[in-house]
Formats: sequence, structure tokens, C-alpha cells
Amino acid sequence: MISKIESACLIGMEAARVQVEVSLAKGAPTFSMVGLPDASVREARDRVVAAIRNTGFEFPSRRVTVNLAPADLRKEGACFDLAIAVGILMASEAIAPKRWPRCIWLGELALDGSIRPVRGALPLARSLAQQAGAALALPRGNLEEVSFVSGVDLYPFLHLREVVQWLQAEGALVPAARTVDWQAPPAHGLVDLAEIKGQAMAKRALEIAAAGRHNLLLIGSPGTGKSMLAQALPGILPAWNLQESLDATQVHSIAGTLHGTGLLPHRPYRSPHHSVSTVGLMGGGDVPSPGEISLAHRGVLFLDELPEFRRDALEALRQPLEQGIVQIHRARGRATYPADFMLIAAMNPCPCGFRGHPKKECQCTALRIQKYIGKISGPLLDRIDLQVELPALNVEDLFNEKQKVESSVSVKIRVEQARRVQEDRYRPAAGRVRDNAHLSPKEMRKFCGLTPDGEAILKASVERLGLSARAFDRIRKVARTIADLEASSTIEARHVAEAIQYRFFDRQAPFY
Amino acid sequence: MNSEPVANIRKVTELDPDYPKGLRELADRPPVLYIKGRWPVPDRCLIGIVGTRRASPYGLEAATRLTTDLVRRSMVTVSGLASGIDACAHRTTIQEGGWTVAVLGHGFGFQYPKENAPLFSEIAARGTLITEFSYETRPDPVNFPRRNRIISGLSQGVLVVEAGHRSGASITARYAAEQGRDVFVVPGSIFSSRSVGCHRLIKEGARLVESADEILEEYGLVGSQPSISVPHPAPFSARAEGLTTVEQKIVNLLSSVPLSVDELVELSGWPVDRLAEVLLSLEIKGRIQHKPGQLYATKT
Repeated sequence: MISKIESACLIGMEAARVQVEVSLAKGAPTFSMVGLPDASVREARDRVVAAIRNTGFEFPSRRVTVNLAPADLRKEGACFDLAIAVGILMASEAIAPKRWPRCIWLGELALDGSIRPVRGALPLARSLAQQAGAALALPRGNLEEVSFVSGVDLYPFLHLREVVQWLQAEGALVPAARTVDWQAPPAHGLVDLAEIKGQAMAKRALEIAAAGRHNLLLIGSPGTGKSMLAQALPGILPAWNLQESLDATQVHSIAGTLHGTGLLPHRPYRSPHHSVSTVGLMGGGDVPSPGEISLAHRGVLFLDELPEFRRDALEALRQPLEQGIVQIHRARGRATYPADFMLIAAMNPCPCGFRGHPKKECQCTALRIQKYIGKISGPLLDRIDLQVELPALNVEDLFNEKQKVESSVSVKIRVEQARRVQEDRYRPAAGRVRDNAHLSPKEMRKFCGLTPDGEAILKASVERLGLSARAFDRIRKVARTIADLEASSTIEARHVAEAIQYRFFDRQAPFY
Repeated sequence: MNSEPVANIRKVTELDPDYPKGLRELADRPPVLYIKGRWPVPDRCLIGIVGTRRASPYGLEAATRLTTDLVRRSMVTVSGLASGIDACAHRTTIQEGGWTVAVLGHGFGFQYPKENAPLFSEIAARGTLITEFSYETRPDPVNFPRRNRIISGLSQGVLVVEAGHRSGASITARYAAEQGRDVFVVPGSIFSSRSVGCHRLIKEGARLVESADEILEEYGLVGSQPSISVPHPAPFSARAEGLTTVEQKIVNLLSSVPLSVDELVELSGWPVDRLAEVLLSLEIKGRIQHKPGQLYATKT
């Protein structure tokens, strides 16, 4: 006797359908599994046997062969358990289903027959939803994250017994009811801008970065508030929509960091320590899995102490920063993960941290400073539009309590307004681009023309301040964002002038 | 080692007539000098400018200002091509179109420190490089104090800008005193470890100077017209350009003591985006300076 059931697994972010075929034959009782299962799939044998017995059925004393097709696709993970168990029950005729929905079965079995949530349910559901009439039988624990995916019917289960009863019941199939409406969660930053005193210029740079999705580098002595500023960034980013929320959550679904919480409540904010390995940052491993940059997809990646990161890790950031994806090639497979994040990085002005400090003396020689800054390669710096130096301030002396400080909420309103301006401008172009930071050189020439005054100030800065000419494109983009914040359609001299102030590395005085 | 041919190196011994007069007086004069660039150097109007390798922004500014003024009055600067004050003095002299002499502590086969390599070739082209060491002598710390006696020996006086406790600059000053040269010292902050050496020299009788005029006075050059025409970056003549009222207001708030943008926001009551724009325009007009630590000060 034979039964066929459908399941699926992930290749990168895409679903691959897997046929689970179970055949029972006469002979000494054995249980074999074929179709390139890895260790975690082979262990399914013991789980399935125990789960079937503990649900009150007899495990067939026959030669049981389970085939996972297509045979050349490597399968891993515990998500086939449920399909295998149901297939065995069907093949042994232990149950006689009254109805048989064409659905894809996902779920890991516990020894007592209960069904545990699996990794990657969200990307699987999203990928399957692109095919008409898809239905998914899945663990109850995965329902929360999947319930906002439209175009796919969901049948959640807690226990194998429940599955059996459902198959043997009569009447029409009723998919699980969805949580009604998705609502954007309230703004959430780990820190409110109002909590940070002083650093007016850095705050302004943060606002511009958020408005145009520019990457940002903060340079300042210890204690100038670099980390706090970075933590305030998620709070001023525009409220996210369902699509973005699903995009971000599905990466976390693969990484298995959701713990049954449903969609991510806020934009992800990832701050890996500088000792992180290249694989930890980029993703990878024997069987590819997403790294920190993908977990920061649609959110913020904060790299504190940028020059302390491994050189190869920093270099590897270049492709994702440009394309919003990361490609991982390994002997056992290839995967492409999304990695469209805003980079905010922080560093000291010199190895000891006190260059330019009004009170403390910097002990670094020019050569050491050059070496320290040289750890960040030119191509990486080229992808960071805004570079701001933070002065070391004696905050208590400077600012009285009464001083009015703007809160994140009011900055966020301006940011959202500027993003709408950009979307309106780029929508007719129908490209991938939706923000100023990711314009191609061609689009930039089209959209970021300066007024003659703007060109003049750029030229003057090169002549008088030693501004390097390769900063031009960055300055144009940033100036475009500054103009958008004012809802100005032209880029005026004042916008260019401000943008030049955020180019720390292009206007360095010569070292002595 | 440099692969450059040894050909354009001149060798001068103390028997030659063009051996510098200042060195001839010394008991421990080097018997042989190797030279690249302009030769012979004049006997008069040479000033040694030395200081710490780890210069503070104040030290660099003082060195730049004094060097500029000295060079404009046709003084020739002498220094040791180390990083910090030395490099600043050489570079400023070249920028002002003047003549600078660098005394090396190693042979011409090497360039040390590496970051000064561009400066090395610029001085070879427009100034003079001198060493008493043969071509293949490596940079060795034991040789550096010795070359300081040549710096002071060539010069009529030595100006010390920032010297720490037991620094090379103090050694040069000591040689200068022994050789009967004038020692001028720029004072620093009592809180700065980089001024300890300077202040000790002042206590020991060196002359405290605040401006180039005090040095020029010593050599009877005060009031003389700048002999070297100073090539100014042409398109923007700093003072001539008018300031808008807004710009004037910011200039009035600033002084030579640097202020951060936050302090300027506080004092002016303006939003930072407007301030950023005004500050850049003032910088382009050459009225203010941007300093490490996001600080601004007036340019004098």
C-alpha cells in the first residue's frame, strides 16, 4: 500500500515542494528513509514512531519505506515529521479519511504526538501563496506569523490526534479565521531624541539619514552619545507597512528567532559586537542561514567601533549595501537572502579616542591615526553618505533643563513627509528605487540637478576646503534629501552647503 | 631602500668652500654632508623650527602662523622632517613659496617617516635636504639626536613650538644654546604635557615669543617688506568678500577659542541646518576654521 502527501522546504527564501511517499510492504519490520535526508530528517523516524504510538495507533509491523522526492534535493530540518506520520497512518489504513484537502503539511512532532512550530513557516507560506489555491496544514505555534499572508488557506493543529479527527470528520473545510486587520504598531525607538542633550548636528544628520535612507557614520570621542543616537534611529523611521513587516519577519522565521510571537512588532535593530565572524554577520554556515545583516532587513544595522570589525567582514558588506541582498555560496548549497538595511556606524576619531577633545590630550601619532582610519576602506566609505563628527561636550554646564529638545515623534513626521515626496517623484520612473540614497548614477543626474548657486558652492568647496571630488555624487544625494525635508523642488545653495558639512572624511586637514 | 640613482646627490666636505659657515664653527661638525636640492644655503636668515611629533591643534596652528610670517620676510626654515611640528614647518614654507632645509637622521636610501614621503620629494625639488649619513644608513633612533646639532648649527636661531619632557626639540634647543644661537620658545598651556619642555626652556632663559616680529626684530628684519610674493588662492580674496548680516553675526560670536556647533546653536538661537550652511559659507570665505572635534574658530 502506498500514500502520497505533499510537504515543502526552503531553498534560501523560496519554497520547494517535496512529495512524501510512504510504501508498506511485506517483510521484516524496518523503517528506511530515502531522498537525501540529512541527520535531522533521519531522526524523524524515532519521533514519528513514538508519536504514532502515543496517539493511540499501532505502528505497522511491515517494511516501511519513506521517499522524499525530488530525490536530488537535500532536505534538512524537522518540518517533514507531520507529513511522514500522516502518510504512514494513511498507508497502513489506520485511518480512513472522509475528506482529503490538497494541502501542504508542515510540522515537527514531539514524542507524545503534539506538533511543534517549525522554522521558516512565513517565507514558505509567502512563497506558496503565489500559486493559486494553496493550502497549508501547519503547527498552531506558527499561525501567528503566517496569519497576515493572504492567498493561502491555513489549517493549524496542536496534536496529531487533532489531525486524525479532522481528517475523519465530515462537512466542508473551514480554514482558520485570520486576525482581522494589521495595524502599524506605534513608533518605537530604544531611545527618544529628547533624551539626548546637545549634539544638534548629529541629530540633524540622523533626521536626514532617516528621510533619505542614507547610511550614516558617527565619529566622536567616548561618551559623546554615539550609541544613544543610533538607538534613537528606529524611532524616527517611517511607520512600516504590512509588506515590510512580512519581509523582515520572514528572515527571522528562517533563523528561528521568532518564538511564536507572530510578526515582528518593530523594525529590527541589530547591533552585532565587533568580534562577530564574517559568517555571523553575512550569513552562511555549512547549510546556509541568514546573518545579522539579513536579520536587520528593513531595519537598522548598527556597527559600533567600526574599525575594530574584521576587515573581510567590512569588505563583504559592500555588495549588500549596494544591492540589498546577500548571496551565499557553499559546497552544500547556494542561498540568497534579503539584506536591505540602513547602516549606522560609529567610531572614535583616533585609537585613544580623544582627538579634538577640549580637555583630554590625544596620545596618538599621525601615523597611528591614519592606520586606524585606514582600516575602513575607501569603497566602504563611499557607500556611507553622511559622516558626522560629534564634539565632546560638557553637557551639564552647557544646557539647562528648560531647554526645549525636539522629541522623536515630531522628527518622524518630517521624515515621513520627506519619504512621501520621494515616493511621488520616483513612482513614475517605475524603477526599484524609492529613496534618494539608492539612486543610480543615471537617475541621480536626472533628479539631483543643482541650481547654479549650488554648483558654485560645490566648486568653491573643492577649491578652498580641499573637498575631494569623488564626494560629489554623495553630496548631491544628501542635498536632495535636505531639500525634500523642506519640500523644496529645487536643490538650492543652502542645501548643498549643509550637505557638505556631513562629509567628514572628504574634508580632512592634512596630517602632520 | 630607494632604487633612485645616487647621481643627483652632492657631496660636500669641510674642505670645500661651500661648506656652511655655521657648521664650520662647530667642534663636532660633520666632516661630510650629502645634499639634495638647492645648494649652497645662505649663511644668514636661517631659522630652525622644531617641536614635538605629537603636536596638538594649538601647536600646529602656532607653527603654521609663525612659519608663514617668517617665510614672508624671506627667512629660510630649517627642521628635521619628523612628523608633527617639523612637517608642518616644512609644508607651510613650501606652500608660502619659501625655502626650507630638512636635516635627516639617516641616509638618502630611506624615507622616514613614511607618511612624509611626498614632502620628501617636494623638498628635494624646491628646498634642500641635508644628511651627514651615507646612502645606506638606516633610520635608527640613536642617530636622530645627533642630526639636531646640524639643525641648530645651520640656523641663526631656533624656534621651539611645543616640546614635551625630554623631547628631541629640547635637545636641539640645548645644542643651540651651546653653539651660541638664539633660542625662541612659543609658550603653551600649563595643563598640556606637550608644553613642559617649552616652559622649562623659558625658565632657563630662552626667549618667549608670541609673534614672528619678535624673532625678526632680533635680526633687524622688522618693517622690511615681504620679499617673496605670496601666491594666494586667486578666486576668493578672503577679506575683500563681503559678509551678509547673518554671517557677520556668527563671526561676532566666534573667537580664536574654538566653539562647538552646539554652543553656537545655544548662543545664536538658530536651528542647526541654517547654522551649518552659514558656517560652510564662512569657511569658504576664509573667515573661520573647522577644527577636529567639530569645533569652529575665527581665522586670524
